[in-house]
Amino acid sequence: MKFQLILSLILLTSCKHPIIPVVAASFAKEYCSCRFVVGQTEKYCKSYASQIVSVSSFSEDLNNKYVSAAAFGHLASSQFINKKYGCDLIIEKF
Amino acid sequence: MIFILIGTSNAQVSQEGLPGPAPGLWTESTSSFERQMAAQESIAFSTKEKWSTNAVLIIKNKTIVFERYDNGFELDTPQRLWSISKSISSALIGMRWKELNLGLNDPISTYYPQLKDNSPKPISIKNLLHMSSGIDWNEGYESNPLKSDVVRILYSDKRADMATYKASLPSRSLPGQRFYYSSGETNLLMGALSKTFQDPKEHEVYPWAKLFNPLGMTDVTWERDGSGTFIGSSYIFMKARDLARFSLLYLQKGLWKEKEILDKDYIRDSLIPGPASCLTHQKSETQFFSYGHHWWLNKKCSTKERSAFVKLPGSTFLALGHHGQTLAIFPELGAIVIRFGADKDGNFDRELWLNEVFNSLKEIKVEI
Repeated sequence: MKFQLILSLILLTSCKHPIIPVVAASFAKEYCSCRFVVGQTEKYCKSYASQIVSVSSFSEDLNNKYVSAAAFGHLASSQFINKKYGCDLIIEKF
Repeated sequence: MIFILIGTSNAQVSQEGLPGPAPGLWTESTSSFERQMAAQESIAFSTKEKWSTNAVLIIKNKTIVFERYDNGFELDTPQRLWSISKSISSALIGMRWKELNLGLNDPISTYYPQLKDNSPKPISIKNLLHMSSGIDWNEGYESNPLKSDVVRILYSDKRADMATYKASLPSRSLPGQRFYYSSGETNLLMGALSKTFQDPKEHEVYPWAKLFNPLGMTDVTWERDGSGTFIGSSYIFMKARDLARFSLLYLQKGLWKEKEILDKDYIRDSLIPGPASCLTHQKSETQFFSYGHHWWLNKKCSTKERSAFVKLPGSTFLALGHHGQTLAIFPELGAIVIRFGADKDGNFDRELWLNEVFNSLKEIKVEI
């Protein structure tokens, strides 16, 4: 099942399906909210934000409350704004 | 793990530094209900499952009869509401449209004129509250990410302006004819809400000024899309006890400290099944529910039908979210039942758990 999904994603990547950037974006956004709104641990949030297909890398800047994640050639970032408005998602491309 | 069987005093200060409601909104029970609550607890906090429960809060007649937090979550931890957010969005729509003396038949094309061309018949605010605009949508998170519109609005360039994206989609049926649960409908409503303000700064603080602060709900977070519209479908975070305050507003028919916060008629209408939800055969866990103004209802549409949760009263109304997030209100018992968890696959058996909670609550005697 997982193998089929990965194969599908490779095919979708090659045809630039709009869903591809979502892998990194969903991780960055949900990880940011988990860490800086909910205040959970890195371990918990990594598990919570991960989908069936994992991101290839991610980093967090605790001082600036900023998260970035990469998957399938796409980079996405999420920035904590403040307590009232939580995290915002910034989608970029390599 | 924190395990609290009885309520604690909860003196609070609102986000703006203004005093919230008097300390001790929730009564501290002098009794322990450990025995009555054991069965529901063993279901909710089972260690044999892939899912986990982070919080359960059960209140009867303003008395906390059970409260437990787990997995690093505590009394003051903000919880993700996911789609429970939709019911809070509904309250704000009710407040704003009442303030502006606009009926719920107000057409959404007033705010999104492109819908005049896309829809064969005017779509009203009420149609959207009933999830029956007829505008195309594909809901679904992990189950069908490749075709999911909700994934697109939350995590792709469509996040820039979710309401405009929804308004750009074609109509599939006449308004009011077909129920289809759609995060797009909620975000279109929230987009319309934003357009009712001339001053964006007034819009930015509206939920706090009109709802959260008056109810003494502290540390509420509400994330926004790229256009500054509150993501009403999914992204409110608040403490379990603050969600209980919101629920109490509905039990009190919109009154808070003798002041009307939300119109009682709006609350009444919110709990009447929308016609489309009775006409449409729904798939999934929610198939037998009827649906009001962004609330799941256990009311039967007709005597020939069954209710969704057959062992619970027809008056039960619920707000349900991704990961098994659950808010159930039993008006006859004056009871508020809240569960937060982590359950991507949706395996938590809400019905089984709520049946146990309801049976326990019937046994428990607390003075009003």
